[in-house]
Amino acid sequence: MPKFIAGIVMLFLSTAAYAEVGNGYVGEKECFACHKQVKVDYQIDRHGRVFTAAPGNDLQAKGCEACHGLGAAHREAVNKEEKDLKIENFKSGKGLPVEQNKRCLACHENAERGFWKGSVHEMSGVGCATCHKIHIEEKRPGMTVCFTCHSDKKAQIQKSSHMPMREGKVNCMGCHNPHGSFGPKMLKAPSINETCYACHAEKRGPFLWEHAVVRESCVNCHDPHGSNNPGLLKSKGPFLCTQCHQYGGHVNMPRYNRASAAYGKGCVNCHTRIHGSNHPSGAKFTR
Amino acid sequence: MAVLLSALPSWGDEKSGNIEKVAELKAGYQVVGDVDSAKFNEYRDIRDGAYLYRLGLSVFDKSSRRYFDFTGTRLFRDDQNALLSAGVDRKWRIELEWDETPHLFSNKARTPYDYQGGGLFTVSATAGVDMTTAGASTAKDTDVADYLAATLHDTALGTQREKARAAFHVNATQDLSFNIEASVERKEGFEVTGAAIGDRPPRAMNTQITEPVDYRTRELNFKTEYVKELYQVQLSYHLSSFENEVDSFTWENIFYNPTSGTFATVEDGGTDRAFSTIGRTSLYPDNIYQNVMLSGGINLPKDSRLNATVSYSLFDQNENLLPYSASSLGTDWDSLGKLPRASADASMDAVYLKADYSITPVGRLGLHAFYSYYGLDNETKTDEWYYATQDAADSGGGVNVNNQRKNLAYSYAKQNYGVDAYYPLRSVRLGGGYEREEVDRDFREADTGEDMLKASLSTRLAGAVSLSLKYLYGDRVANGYNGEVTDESYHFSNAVESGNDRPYGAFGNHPDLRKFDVADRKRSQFDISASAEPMSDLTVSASYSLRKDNYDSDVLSSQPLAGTGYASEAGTTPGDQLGLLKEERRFYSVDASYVPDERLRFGAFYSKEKLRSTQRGIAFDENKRVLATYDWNQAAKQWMATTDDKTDTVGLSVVYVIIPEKLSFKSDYTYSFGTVDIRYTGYGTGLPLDSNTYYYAFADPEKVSHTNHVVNATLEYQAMRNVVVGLSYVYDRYKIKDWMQEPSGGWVEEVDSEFLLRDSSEDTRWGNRLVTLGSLLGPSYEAHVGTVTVAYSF
Repeated sequence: MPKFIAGIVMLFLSTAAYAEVGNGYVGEKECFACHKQVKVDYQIDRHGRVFTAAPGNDLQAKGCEACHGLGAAHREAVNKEEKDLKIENFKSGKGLPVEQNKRCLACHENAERGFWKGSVHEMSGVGCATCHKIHIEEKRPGMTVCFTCHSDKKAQIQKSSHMPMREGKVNCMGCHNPHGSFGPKMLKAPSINETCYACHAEKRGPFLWEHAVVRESCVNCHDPHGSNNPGLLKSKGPFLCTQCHQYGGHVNMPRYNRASAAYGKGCVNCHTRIHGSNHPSGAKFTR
Repeated sequence: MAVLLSALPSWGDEKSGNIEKVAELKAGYQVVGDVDSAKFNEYRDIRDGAYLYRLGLSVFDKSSRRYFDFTGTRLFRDDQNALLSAGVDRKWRIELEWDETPHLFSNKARTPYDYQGGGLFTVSATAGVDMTTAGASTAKDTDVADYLAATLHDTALGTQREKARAAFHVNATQDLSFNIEASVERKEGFEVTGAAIGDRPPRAMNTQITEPVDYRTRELNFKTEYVKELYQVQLSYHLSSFENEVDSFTWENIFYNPTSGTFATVEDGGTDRAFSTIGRTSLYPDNIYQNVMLSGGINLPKDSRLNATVSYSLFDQNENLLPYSASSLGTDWDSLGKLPRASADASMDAVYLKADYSITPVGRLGLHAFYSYYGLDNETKTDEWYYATQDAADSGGGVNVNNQRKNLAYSYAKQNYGVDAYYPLRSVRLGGGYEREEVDRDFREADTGEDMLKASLSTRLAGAVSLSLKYLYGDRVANGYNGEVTDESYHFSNAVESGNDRPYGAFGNHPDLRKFDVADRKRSQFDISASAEPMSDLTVSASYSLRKDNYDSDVLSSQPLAGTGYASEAGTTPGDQLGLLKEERRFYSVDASYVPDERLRFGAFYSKEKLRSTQRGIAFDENKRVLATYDWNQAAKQWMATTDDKTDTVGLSVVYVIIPEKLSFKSDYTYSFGTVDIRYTGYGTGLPLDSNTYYYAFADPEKVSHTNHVVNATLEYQAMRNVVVGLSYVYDRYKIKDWMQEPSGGWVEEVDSEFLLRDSSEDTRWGNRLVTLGSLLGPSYEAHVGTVTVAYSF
């Protein structure tokens, strides 16, 4: 029985892989005759395993030619040593990834990738192959890929105050969708705050007493990618508050005459409910 | 479980060669040098002992395309993750995940408080100090220090997140898929907060204390997607329920002398006031969040695509409220009957709309037009609430009540729209764009509108060098700035309020202040990056970016109290903008990779980040605001602070295959050095801290610095075909210097220990003291970690 199943599978594989030979198609076997290293990598790559063993549609069944186009003309051009090799190698666009992206989207324009067109990355000239290896199964942490371009974020996560990114508990894709998004800044939620609430549900409120600047955007005060100030704050405690509060009482100086104003959490030592208060006397977020 | 089992590949098929199995086990023993700092294990769990670094099992049946995967990392530690997934490839998948994340704040914190559960903190004994004017202040300090020395004990300070998640995905047809996911997260532990009693400094007595964290977040996600070649539609629903098991916390006043009666009598600038024997505050309330979203995209002629999203979010919170005060002082302020309503009855909704259209209309010209709207509507009912300040008594012995406040329902609506374009011209890609952002706000100082212009260029020179430039210019204009808008919360009626606090005489803020998030702003952003391959084995890239925000809002001198009849009504403000004035960020980086041969790979990274912000403030006395001696008009009382925040980061790495497929070595080094240097000029600069005249005096604080060196080195030996033996060493050194975390500034001094701080420059009142959990809760450390591992795979 197992032999019978294996036979069926092998028959299926052989027909799937070479079903498209003819009509200008030459099939993977012909491609691999020259592109030997690609064959080695491709066979263990996800694309290779799917296209060869279990194509999901007619396009995938074309193997290499699903993306690179007809092989017969290419073979002929190579044999004649022509300058134009008559194959889509994605180099004709002077490094522009538009054509290559189109090939990828032919199968992958779904889920989060449905927002690729018009995304910040697309408009910046980023291509699928900028981040993904098409022929090689390469396991790199997602952040490593992002840091190739976003070197400022790579440095920021090394700062003293950071989210657990370098410890491997949070990564860029926790908040952002690099393929495009309906949200701002390629975020996965409709707003910055709704992104933050995914982990910080306690700060969601709504509260009886709202701190308007907090409600509008967490990044008014915090830099989520890392900071030299505790709590991912953008400035040292009392200086951050005095950027907006020049009240005539005690908050108009980084140091009032209180031990607590310049120590620990600064103003937040007393204004402990700074994200919003649910106490009937919490108008100033002191409880 | 039955579903999982059904996904298990048939082991009987192994002989046919249809079963692919991969298993990996990596375990070892770890030795950690003595590390006496919570910072080392801030988000991880590295300690002595046996360690199961990784456990993986992957089984795939090629014939049925069933699979089963299990991956466990750092198992049985506080930062473990275990993920099990099974299913039939491209048919269905089930996932079960368990994840833990610690967040350790300190392992050296000490407190006089004992946590009794349910949010109650008690002390075994009170200070028993005569806190009235009759006592000498230094004696009080000494007595409290002695009390702390006798009662302080270690306290845990950190939280632990534990999350369980289950998900099921099914492709019902080739076009239609469903995904459902449920999770429960528990977060427990203690964070740092303040436990203040008293209406305001210097009368408020404060104590750092641990805030109990006992959260449960339950979530449910449902998503369905219909995908055709030309169009795709997604519909999702998200429900998140947050519950805090501790709604409030209550603490005993450690300054309370039981022999003094039912309240504590404490000196207040020459007179005595009564303070409650306990303090109480509300904690984060339970809340429910729901979101439903419909999103779709359609491919149209001319290589174009239209995407559209509609999202609706609902936020609800209806926690029962505490009474105004925990104190029995006065009349019924500790009664719920005095509240205008018994529960928060808070609700908001957010509507998000987005549509964008991409097209290649002519040649290779790409266009992208977009519009988005985010409207947050706060529907929480507004009421009038007494402002009973911090459980302290007024001079008459009742609870100190400072008029009333209205809870304002902040709402805002933001619109963004614009168009981006790019055009490939020979080997150059040119880009440009325009965007406008408009934000309308309720109960904020200003609505804003911003125009943004964008330009970009990218090219590949001589095939080996890539160059990219980007520029953005933004001009944000605040449409009329009303600095008094917050008064709508503070004082609700001229008739009810009396004296100097009447609304028309109040400053919610100094009139020259502009809050930076709603102020005029001119923004410039410039980025340039280049990468090159000067040799086939060498890749070098470099980048520079500049961000400049100028918040100059053309502030003019004003006469805020004109027509009030107050003695200060003729006064005019200096007309110099207060608040954040400028921000600038420069970032430089160089990255190189050198691969001389297949066995050797080097990497290097260096970056420098320089942030500079400039802000202005003014020292003025609120109590003299309307008097003839007012000082809010004096430019001489202005101060400036320039903050330089710099970070240097270095990364080096090497991978060397010493003997191919037998012995390899890899190592990396990371260095991060961050400093925050504040230069303070203007009012009070250099004046003696102990001068009553200049009690606002301030001086340049000591430079803050964080230094972190981390070296990782691993030697791996392939002992057998399936066995790799590894030897690892980690050197991790962290050094911190921070005036906000250690009592080293001129404005604060220790009284016997780091647990009692005092500022004696102005007066002896108890608001100038702070009982702390200890300085530098996560102090410097130097750690060595050695590990022996064995990895077995088949």
